[in-house]
Amino acid sequence: MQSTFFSLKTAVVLLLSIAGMSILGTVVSGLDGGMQAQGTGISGIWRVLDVLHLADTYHSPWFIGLACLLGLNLTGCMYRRVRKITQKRIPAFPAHMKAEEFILTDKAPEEFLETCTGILRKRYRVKKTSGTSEGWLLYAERQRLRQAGTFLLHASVLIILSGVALGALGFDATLEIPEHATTDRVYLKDGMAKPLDFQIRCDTFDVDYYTNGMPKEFTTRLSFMRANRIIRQASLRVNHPVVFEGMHIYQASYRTDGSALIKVVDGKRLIWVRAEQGQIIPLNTALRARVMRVEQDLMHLGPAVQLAVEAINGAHTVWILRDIERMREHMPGILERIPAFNPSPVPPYTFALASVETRFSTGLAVNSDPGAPVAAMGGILLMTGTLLIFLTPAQRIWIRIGPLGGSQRLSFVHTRNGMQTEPDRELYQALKSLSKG
Amino acid sequence: MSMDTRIMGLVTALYMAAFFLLVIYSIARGRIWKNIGLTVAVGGFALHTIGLGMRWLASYRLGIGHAPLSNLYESLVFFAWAIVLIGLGIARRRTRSMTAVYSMPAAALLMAYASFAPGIDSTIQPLIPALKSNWLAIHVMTCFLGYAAFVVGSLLGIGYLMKRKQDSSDAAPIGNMAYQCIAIGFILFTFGILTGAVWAYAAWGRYWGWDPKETWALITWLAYAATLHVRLRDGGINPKVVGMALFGLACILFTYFGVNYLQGLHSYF
Repeated sequence: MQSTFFSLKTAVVLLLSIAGMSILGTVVSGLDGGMQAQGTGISGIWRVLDVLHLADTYHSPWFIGLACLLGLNLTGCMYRRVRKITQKRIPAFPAHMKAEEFILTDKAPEEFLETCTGILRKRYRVKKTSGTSEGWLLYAERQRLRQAGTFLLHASVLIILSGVALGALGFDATLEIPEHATTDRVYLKDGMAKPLDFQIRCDTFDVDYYTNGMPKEFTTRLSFMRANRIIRQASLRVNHPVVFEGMHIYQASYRTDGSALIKVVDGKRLIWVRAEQGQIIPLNTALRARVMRVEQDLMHLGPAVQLAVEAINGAHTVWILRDIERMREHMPGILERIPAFNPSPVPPYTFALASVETRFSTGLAVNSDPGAPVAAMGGILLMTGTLLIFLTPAQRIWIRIGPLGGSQRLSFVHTRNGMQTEPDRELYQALKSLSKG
Repeated sequence: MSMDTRIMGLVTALYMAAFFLLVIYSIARGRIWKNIGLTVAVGGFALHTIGLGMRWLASYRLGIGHAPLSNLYESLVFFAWAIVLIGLGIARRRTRSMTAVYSMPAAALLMAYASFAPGIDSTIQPLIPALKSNWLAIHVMTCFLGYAAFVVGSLLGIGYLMKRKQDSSDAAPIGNMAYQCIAIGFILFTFGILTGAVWAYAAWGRYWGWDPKETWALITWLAYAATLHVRLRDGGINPKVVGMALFGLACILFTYFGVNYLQGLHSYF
């Protein structure tokens, strides 16, 4: 039972099971996104996944259980391997491989054994055995680095898994701060607020653009404060996080909030309204205007605000441009050609835009992961182990000296990385020099 | 059409030509076909390298200098280049035609897809802020070189099965080369995943986030780790090992093409 679990076969089954579980995870997360997009909510499939604790596949008991089993399997395999390396017993002569054979000169087998040991000792770690019923057996190997690599690689997986487990003690949070505003809390994934023992102020947020209009850089200027006193100021860009009191703060997103000063005339009276994006301006009991978008510069036509004037029988969407009067002077008939620029979509109401103000909010990700250094150490060991396993040779040689008629016969098998190969020329010549012919 | 995209069209034709010449060699066994086929393949690769270099230089002339690895078109072209590099580079003189015959069609198909698939933009675009990092070149290059080695290794696995059926003595060297490619791929892909984790930690604050691309990269890694373990257990390459490698190949295809249909942070590749 023990040897079955701590075997290569089990390791392969576990690796493939984790792969299969990960495939399921991507399907489930795709399903989640698709359902949200379609607004279908929780379906039958979703309920089944929930019952099976697979809705969050990567944090489900199944996935964690498989990772723990892999860890256990690795530990057992490593223990067995170390025991195998350190014990004195040497591997049996590989009978399934075709051995090279020489008939030796008329010396005692012990003498040949000593000579062979001397030849091999230059480059191999020699493990000798005493005589057996089939003759004398000499085994030598050159694979210490490879063995160390195997140990490091498997240990690194355990270390990475430990780092991941330690990461559960940290947190992943986000926060959004409007320019010039200050906050002292972040929001965890489940929406819960986590208070900080300091304040973060967004001093400025800037977006740079390439000439083709693509964003080039997002930069947030932050101040960290305690009791309204600035402790530190830092500039934050994508790929250039700021670390403050053990927390990593990253540029994640941004949002533009606009507000507009709008003049509304209904033929008798004039009112001024300061409205933000999404705000509703009541006009009368049956009519209202919703501020859809606020633009600092709409297609080089200057500041503009998009209004949806909503009546019982439908809505009229129009762009109210600040400079519409000047445009009418330069382009007579513009309102007839582009009705969407008409400031009087529903008479007797006429809208005019006085000014627009836009304000950025910076979106930050705040993380703390105490397991990250452990996982990083695991990553370094994983790479070192992988390089040692695949780039250092594992050479093994078995030499058997046994009687054949009145003479002695030397048989040897040489393997490199598990495959039977010729030994190098010098070693071959040295062994051949012992033969009669 | 820019100069480098014109060159890429020619490269696709050369890879296809090399493939057909090497197929003729494998049937007719005339040494001349092999020599011409390999010359065309090497010539195509040289031109491919020049094309990539020109594109890199052109991005600097546009004032947005970056390695040509920033969108789907550029990654496809680099992927094809990496497959040919591994295919021609891994083999010894005696076996080069064998590796070339398996890598040429894969490279030509990728190049053709980059040129003709709808929605693939071949213009040089500036980098979005998320990609403006020194890790871009090192992470993407190592991942694609790893993918390329896996692809060549898995295709050689198919070659091994075909030769094995014919009971030919060619099967063993192809099997060994398949293993060597997978081992090289494993080293490169492990490095690619680790550099990706470091970059993710710098950019997004976590080294692993179960993004679909990340997850499928892990699935690919696990598939090839299982392949190597099965080979170790069975003492050499066999149909079971090849089957596992082909599962890994399917994972690569999904990691590269399929995942783009899922919402994630790697959607620009």
